[in-house]
Amino acid sequence: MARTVATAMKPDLFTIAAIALLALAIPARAQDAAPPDPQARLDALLARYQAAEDKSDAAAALRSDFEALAKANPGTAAGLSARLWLLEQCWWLRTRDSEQPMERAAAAMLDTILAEYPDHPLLARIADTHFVFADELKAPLFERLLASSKHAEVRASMILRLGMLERRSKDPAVRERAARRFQQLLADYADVPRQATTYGAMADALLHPHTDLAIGKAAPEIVGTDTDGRAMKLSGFRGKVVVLDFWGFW
Amino acid sequence: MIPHERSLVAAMKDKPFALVGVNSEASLDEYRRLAAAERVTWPSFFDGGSTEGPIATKWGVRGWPTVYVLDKKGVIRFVDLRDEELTKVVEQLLAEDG
Repeated sequence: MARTVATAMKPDLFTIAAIALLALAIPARAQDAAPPDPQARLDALLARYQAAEDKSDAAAALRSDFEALAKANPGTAAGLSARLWLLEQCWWLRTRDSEQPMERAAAAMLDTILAEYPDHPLLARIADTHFVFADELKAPLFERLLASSKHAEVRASMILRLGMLERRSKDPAVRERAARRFQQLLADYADVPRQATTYGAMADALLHPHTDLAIGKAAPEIVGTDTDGRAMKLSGFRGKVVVLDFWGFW
Repeated sequence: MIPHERSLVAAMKDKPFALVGVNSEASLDEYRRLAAAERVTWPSFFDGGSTEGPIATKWGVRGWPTVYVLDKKGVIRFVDLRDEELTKVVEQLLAEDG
């Protein structure tokens, strides 16, 4: 805008200086002023959310930006990512209220998503956002997406989530179904990536949890990678007193 | 938790002790950003990018943090201690033969 004004007015030095000062004075808002690439715009919004200390405040503040991006970019990966972020934020509506505001908002958003994106690799994330849906909606939804998706990562995500739901059942027949789901992941989706691991690694862990973890027993081996990407084993610390700490930053 | 973990690591610097994490952060980029900001001074397994990662799943971890204390022979000796209690048992185990 400053450049257009400058050309029209053919300003003197004073005016040029004033415009330059004004441009410098425009705060960080300028960098949010719609970069042309929706994916870059989405990444910028996600980075702001990630960096925020108070996620609840950040979600409220950024909601309209994500909604605008989704509406302006229908049928795109960026648009779907924005809608999936909004779906996840339904979590803030959860309450013991029998009106179930979270579940109702999530169901409405789901309808919009599936109408606009009947099949897409990113729909895998719907299974990861299972916690916003009403219980009775979950299994039918995941079964439906499993049956209809052409994308391996979507089918694997649905199989995993169905198994995760079933493994907690009081009914042993349902728990047996969970084991078959995990076996199917090992057989058909072992190498399909999931975040920083694979469906195979997750299924293997689900099928073979440690059964002998107790005071007085030898700790089982852990073979993995450290946060610098280097191979690491728990047995490498033998000879030392070890505090093994399952933790996160929250 | 992190300040206590950091001071435990510092206190045990010259002793046969290791604090080993299993971390559930969503991505390595996020981990590195937060680890620098919070001054994390111990190694961690990166568990696949979620609390449903393979290591936590195999170990049946349902709540965070979960702590196992192993002696020098790799035997599980204590579970889910914190702060002063944790420091005390570490010192007790250090005094044992390895």
